[in-house]
Amino acid sequence: MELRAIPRTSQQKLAPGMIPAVAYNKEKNVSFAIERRAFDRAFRQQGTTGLFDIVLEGGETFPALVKAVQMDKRRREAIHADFYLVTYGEPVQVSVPVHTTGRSQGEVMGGLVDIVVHSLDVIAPGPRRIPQEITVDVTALNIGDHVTAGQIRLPEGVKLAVDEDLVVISVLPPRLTAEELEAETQAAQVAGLVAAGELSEEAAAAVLEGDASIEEVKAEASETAEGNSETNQG
Amino acid sequence: MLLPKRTKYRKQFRGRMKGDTKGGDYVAFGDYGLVALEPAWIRSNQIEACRIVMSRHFRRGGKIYIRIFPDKPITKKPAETRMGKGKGAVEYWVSVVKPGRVMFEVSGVTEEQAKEAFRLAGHKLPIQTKMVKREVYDEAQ
Repeated sequence: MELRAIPRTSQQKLAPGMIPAVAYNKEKNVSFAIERRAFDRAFRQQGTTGLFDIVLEGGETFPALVKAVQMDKRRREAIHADFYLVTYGEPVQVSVPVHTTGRSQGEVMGGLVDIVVHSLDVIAPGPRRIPQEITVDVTALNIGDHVTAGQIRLPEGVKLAVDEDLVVISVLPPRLTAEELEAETQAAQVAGLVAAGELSEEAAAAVLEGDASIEEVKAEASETAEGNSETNQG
Repeated sequence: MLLPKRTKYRKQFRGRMKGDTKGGDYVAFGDYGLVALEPAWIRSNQIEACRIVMSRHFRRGGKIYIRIFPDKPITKKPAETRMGKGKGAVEYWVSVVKPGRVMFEVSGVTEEQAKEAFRLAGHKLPIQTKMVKREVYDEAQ
């Protein structure tokens, strides 16, 4: 995609609607200004993986990738852009967005597919061979499963620039609601009382079914125990 | 409620809240974020109230990320105390939030759910807020 640029000097005041930008590589750097709207439109379309042709007014044209963008913190719009000047045929390291496809088995069971790493750093053999996005099929994933960077199939010639063990996607277990959490706590409490011999199994079942509270069952049990001891004494 | 496990110094000066946030101005973990539009001290109980109201709204689903931490102790002198005799005791903890700060993020929910959850959470905060969506600018930070 073509992006028109005007050369600028460091102290030059820019026209309204223009933002400063810089393009560089190991050998040279060029400062220029670009139109904010045109850049915004192009950047939203191409992201960090698309190649831009920067056309300098009255000068040369050079291919570049967006390296970083400074944002206005309140308005969340670009205030400065960094481009990396690429050379055809030379490997280039880029950050490629990760997307998922399909509905995982874990998600069907109430889990949550969590994208841990939203963009993966890769080394592409050349600027024309940068993948636009990395799509991971999550259909086979169950709750607790995860996909590491090494498990992702990349296009031919593209290599990982990060550790192979880096977790990229994981399927998290479902969160419990307040009632479920309460029920689980009560079940654990009842199990503890049964194990300690303070509660009979019938009473425990009554508590778990919601027929009686733990306190009621305990009081009943103590009354029965007292009655039995009185009968024995008599 | 959130508070530091240990601190180097027990009490701090109040400080000033000039300018915009220095960091934490982009959506880093989730799909949607709640951004502060004004500077403020956000108390630990307000953060907790936001977390509770959002997790209640999502019921089972969704994941909530809290991107602010109350690491500033605020002291207060007891009522009807004469001036002097040193700085008061630590009363509560706050997080210093400046405009542009992404305070909360959520993932695994629809845009409508996130919007409603952030509306509810915004009511628990002493500042104006707005919801933002993860976009290409967040990837290029």
